[in-house]
Amino acid sequence: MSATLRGWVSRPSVTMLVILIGLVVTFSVKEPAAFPTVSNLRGILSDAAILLVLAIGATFVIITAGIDLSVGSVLVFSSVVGAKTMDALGNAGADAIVVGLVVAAAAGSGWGLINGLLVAKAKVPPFVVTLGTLGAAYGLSLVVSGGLDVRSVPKGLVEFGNGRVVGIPSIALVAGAITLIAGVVLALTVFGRWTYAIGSNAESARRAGISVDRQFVSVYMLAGLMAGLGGFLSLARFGTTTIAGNTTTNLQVITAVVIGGTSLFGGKGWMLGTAIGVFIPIVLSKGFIIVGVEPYWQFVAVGIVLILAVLVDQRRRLRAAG
Amino acid sequence: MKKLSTALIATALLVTSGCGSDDSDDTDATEPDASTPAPTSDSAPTADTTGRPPQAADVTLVLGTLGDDFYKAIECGARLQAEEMGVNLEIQAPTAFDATLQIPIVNAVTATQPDAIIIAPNDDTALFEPLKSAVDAGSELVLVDTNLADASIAAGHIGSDYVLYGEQGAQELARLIGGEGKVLGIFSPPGVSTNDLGRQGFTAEMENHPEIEVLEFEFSSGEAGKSAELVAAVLAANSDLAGVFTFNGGDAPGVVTTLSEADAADRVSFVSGDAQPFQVEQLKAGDVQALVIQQARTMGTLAVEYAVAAINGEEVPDETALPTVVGTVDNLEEPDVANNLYQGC
Repeated sequence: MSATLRGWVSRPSVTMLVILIGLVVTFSVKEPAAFPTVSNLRGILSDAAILLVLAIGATFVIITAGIDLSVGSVLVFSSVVGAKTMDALGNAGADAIVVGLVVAAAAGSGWGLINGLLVAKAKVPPFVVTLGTLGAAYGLSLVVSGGLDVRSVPKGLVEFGNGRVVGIPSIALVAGAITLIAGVVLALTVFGRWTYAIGSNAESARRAGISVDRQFVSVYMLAGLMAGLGGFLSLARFGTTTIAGNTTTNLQVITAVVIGGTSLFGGKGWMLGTAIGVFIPIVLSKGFIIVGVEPYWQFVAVGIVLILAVLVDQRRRLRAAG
Repeated sequence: MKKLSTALIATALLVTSGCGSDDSDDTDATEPDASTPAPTSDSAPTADTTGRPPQAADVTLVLGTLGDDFYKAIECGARLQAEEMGVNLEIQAPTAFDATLQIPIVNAVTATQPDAIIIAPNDDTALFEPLKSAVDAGSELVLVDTNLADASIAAGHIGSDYVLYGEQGAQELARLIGGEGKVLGIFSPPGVSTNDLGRQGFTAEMENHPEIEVLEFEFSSGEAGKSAELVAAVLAANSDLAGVFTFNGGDAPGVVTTLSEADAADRVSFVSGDAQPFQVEQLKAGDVQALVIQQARTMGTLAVEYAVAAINGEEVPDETALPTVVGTVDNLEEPDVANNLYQGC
């Protein structure tokens, strides 16, 4: 019983949950009129939503001991083709929005398929593959858009993206629902178990009869799909594509996943941890801005938390190894 | 293990609270104002007719990006003016000119419910909803430098007279080349409103100089590598090129490099927009012969003035276009030019 308890406590995601709660309490005590408010909470949720969706895909990828650097560019590409499609359909009506969603999701999955095939079949290291597609997806976004942001997005979509359902930002609800589903898939399904298995040891997974290549491809496709959905949510939120934006999105996503306790060595990771990992940097930066700390300090603090998370992970590994 | 985790958590919390306590003087001073308007302004933002004295005003300035000398100059003007008017000014900025980074900052600023927000929006559409939320929550809004597509939620916008910007660039270039020869203009791609207006002004002024042949415009958004390539290509096709104008100061290093590599610096005149520190050095060194300078510091000064006026319920102009000034090596010390060079204070 106490061993289980100790194992639970030493999970990095629990450590990080304590840190997250500590941050919220600290900022709330320091700025009681501004930090613990409904409007700030809504702001935090909206800012977290798109990163969370991307981080879900990245969690699967990192559990396989892989990495996906292309998500920010794939997000931009998907939002560009999604917006262009809706534009071509006259930017009106639910059908244009649905087709736009499908196109954005398909575009994202397409890039994921390319990443997955190159990693699994061609055996190119994921770092290199996704560094390549990062550039390629960004370049093609420029080609498709002519370098100019597509600013004609259906009004209904933007209203949804900035709207609320029972007081909660709607994009945060969408992100929450996707997280829940992905968490269940990871923890309770064969797909999730195989993801852990190929991340722990691809060779033994192969011997155990798992079709390893297919699993790799599916995992990268999932990450691409999430980037595609992220691109669509970004259209809904901003009402425009953000071609020049999302330059650091991939690093923010990887930071969140690692803070959440998913091991870069593969085989270990939790969806709840990822959610916590997404919120820590956002709460930190919101808190710092509200308290009035120079913006530069945010990076220092996030950097420290990141290193802390990896330290905890390593300690745990050493202990597990005896 | 437990001990380790506890120690680490303690460190993390210490780090964050430590950073906060550096500013404790500041925050203690602002807390009373921050907490008083919250309950009343939430329920009835317009009921605040008594008008708190202007020295109590909390204003947050959100710049376009960190570490940019143009925005540092705006910040400088705003700081000096805030000091003079007794305004409590906070500064924030994203790490890059990127709407996805600026919006979270706006949301956090909104939560602090400042009396006014001054911002250089990173995108004229994406920033609309977040800023509208801030205005709905009771903050006045003043736009500086970049604008919103729908600026109806703002008290006013302060920018430069971009048509004049282009005109002055053309005038200087025409003067330098003696009113005849081929000239090249480099601007941001169509769709960037400031550059579009600048191109209009440039074209209109060049019509007064019939002996000048204006080559097809080339496009670069302040990327030195790109402008270097462009000038090299144009120079290859037109060995008799007489002058170059770049609207964006970021393009200047590329032009200077290419002209000197092609041994063309002596026969090709160069005029650039903006006045970042490296450009001032280029001007002193003779690599560029004239700069067209925006009054960045005045923008910051006016923005704070307008913000306070808006807080007090006074009218401010919807649109303020400050004239640009021309800087050459001869007038660099004159206050008109010296005060407007892009630098912090």
